[in-house]
Amino acid sequence: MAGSSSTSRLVRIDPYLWRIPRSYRADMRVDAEIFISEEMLKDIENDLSLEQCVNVATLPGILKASIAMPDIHQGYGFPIGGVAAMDLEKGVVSPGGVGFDINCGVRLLRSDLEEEKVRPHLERLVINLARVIPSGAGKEGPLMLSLEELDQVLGQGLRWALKRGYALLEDLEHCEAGGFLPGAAPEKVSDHAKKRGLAQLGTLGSGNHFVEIQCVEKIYDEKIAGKFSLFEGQVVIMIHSGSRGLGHQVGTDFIGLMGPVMAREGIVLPDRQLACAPIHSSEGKAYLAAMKAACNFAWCNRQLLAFRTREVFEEVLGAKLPLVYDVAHNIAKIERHRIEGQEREVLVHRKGATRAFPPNHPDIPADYRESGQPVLIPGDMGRNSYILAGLPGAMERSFGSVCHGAGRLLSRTKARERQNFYEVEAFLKSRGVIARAASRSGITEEAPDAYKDVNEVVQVVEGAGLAKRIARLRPLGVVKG
Amino acid sequence: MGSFEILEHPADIGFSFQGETLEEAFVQAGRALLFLQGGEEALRSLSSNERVSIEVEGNDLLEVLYDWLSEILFFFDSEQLLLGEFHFEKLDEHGAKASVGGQKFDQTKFETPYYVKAITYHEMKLEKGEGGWHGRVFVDI
Repeated sequence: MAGSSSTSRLVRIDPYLWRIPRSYRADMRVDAEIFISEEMLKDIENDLSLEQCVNVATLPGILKASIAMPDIHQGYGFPIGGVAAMDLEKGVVSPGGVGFDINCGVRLLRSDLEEEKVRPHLERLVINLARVIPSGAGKEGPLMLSLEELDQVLGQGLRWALKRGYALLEDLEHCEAGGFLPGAAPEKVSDHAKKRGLAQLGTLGSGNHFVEIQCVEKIYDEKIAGKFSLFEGQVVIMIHSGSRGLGHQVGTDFIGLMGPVMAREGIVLPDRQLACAPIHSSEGKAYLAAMKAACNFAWCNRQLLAFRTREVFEEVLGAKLPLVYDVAHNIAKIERHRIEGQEREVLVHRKGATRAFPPNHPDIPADYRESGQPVLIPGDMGRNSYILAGLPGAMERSFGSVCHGAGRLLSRTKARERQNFYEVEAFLKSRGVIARAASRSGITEEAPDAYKDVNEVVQVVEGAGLAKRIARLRPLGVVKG
Repeated sequence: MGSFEILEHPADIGFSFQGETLEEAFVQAGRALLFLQGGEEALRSLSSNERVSIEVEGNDLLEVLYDWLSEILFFFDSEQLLLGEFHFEKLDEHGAKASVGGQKFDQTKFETPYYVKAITYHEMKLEKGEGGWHGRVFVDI
């Protein structure tokens, strides 16, 4: 299963779309389609990401194609950057198609301050953020929930945060799904998962999670940027985190449960990590209900991180930080899409992919409806991040989805070998970026050159007509997990 | 005596392990996870002043291994408990039961090289061959 075998079967459809036809392997039910440039294809020649995209094409009930975004890289079961939509009657739900970090996602807060006003206070802001935001392994959060209250978080999402004074009503309006998925069932979340989650609400986690102070470096579309309240030189804050140990355990529990279900249903798959259950089976329904609860937990987690960030900015600069938007990039959702000319409900898995609904879609908040949904794409901590707006092309070509970030290029071990902490710190300093992390390895393995260039990734997304660039952001200060 | 070795993955990390007996292979997989959670120092000097019981069931050896490692991970993430000393009462393709010793994570003593989110089935292996049992596990970090 070398990566190169599937690379040679790629057919170029246009400069930004490549296809591995269904005929490539007998067990494929649909084509595999990869939104990528010729240049970027080289980055994935030697890993299993294309093979994983082909494997996803074998899942029962998959519609149109197994799709991958330009930030594609090797994951477990699904590639990271994968999108798969399933028929609700004949299709399956795969916990691996959501990932262990359920509702990992990004939110963007905006200030009304320009970089020059913030720069003199930057170090203090970063130090204070690092102090109030628990990160890294084994760190407990500022809240110790009771089991009863945790069930409210799981069942109500941001509605709980609103009730408890951690969120404003506008926060809910500017969050994908309003920060609350109905049908979440706390009783489908195991005791193990709840125990992992009890002390972790409001914690950043580790790996690539961060709170980043950024500056709007360039505006591409003044009109839409104005609708998103963004302007050149403005300081904004991006938060990247997910459902922490609670979500990881929900994923672990249900992947473990799916083995016997597949045996019962006669489902044979090329990779055990793709484990799945029919959407209408009791196990499929239980997973979706538990996944929704973990999603609600993740939204409350990002909300608490935002709450602490707001406190720090209020204290240091007297600044208010309204929410621009919050999007999930590890999730499965029932949405309406056009299949063979007919609009109907399907289950869309997004594993390292972001929803990008076009203008006038009913699920976009009223004040953004004309513009298209804001899409938040974090890059690495030395280069850029982007704000995009969804386009009709995403509905036509990728089930309303785009990329989720830059995509990893170097393994964490390789990144650590390549540069030491002081070299990465010096590079960041030369770019005017102040970074703090729970551990030194947290900085070295997240070094900018461990990632693909997000500028190229976003160029593909725009070239393919999935979303358009609205603003480019540049990092100023980073708190890493 | 068995051993383990850390393996690369484009975005995450894994380990291979081996032991003369199935028990020893499971112990080495547990030690590899201990290394990811607590580093060299944990391998060298972990005490066993706390004990827990781990019991898992499965339909085959891979499922037992997946559940076994997931339980070790659970104790670390929920109770900050590093586990490193394993005594099996039962271990076969239907399940495992063990008394496990370890200590609370001490930030002044241990550093976590890789925070593990979950165990995966990605290219997971456990086979009996020459010289005993050989396995491989990748984890999500």
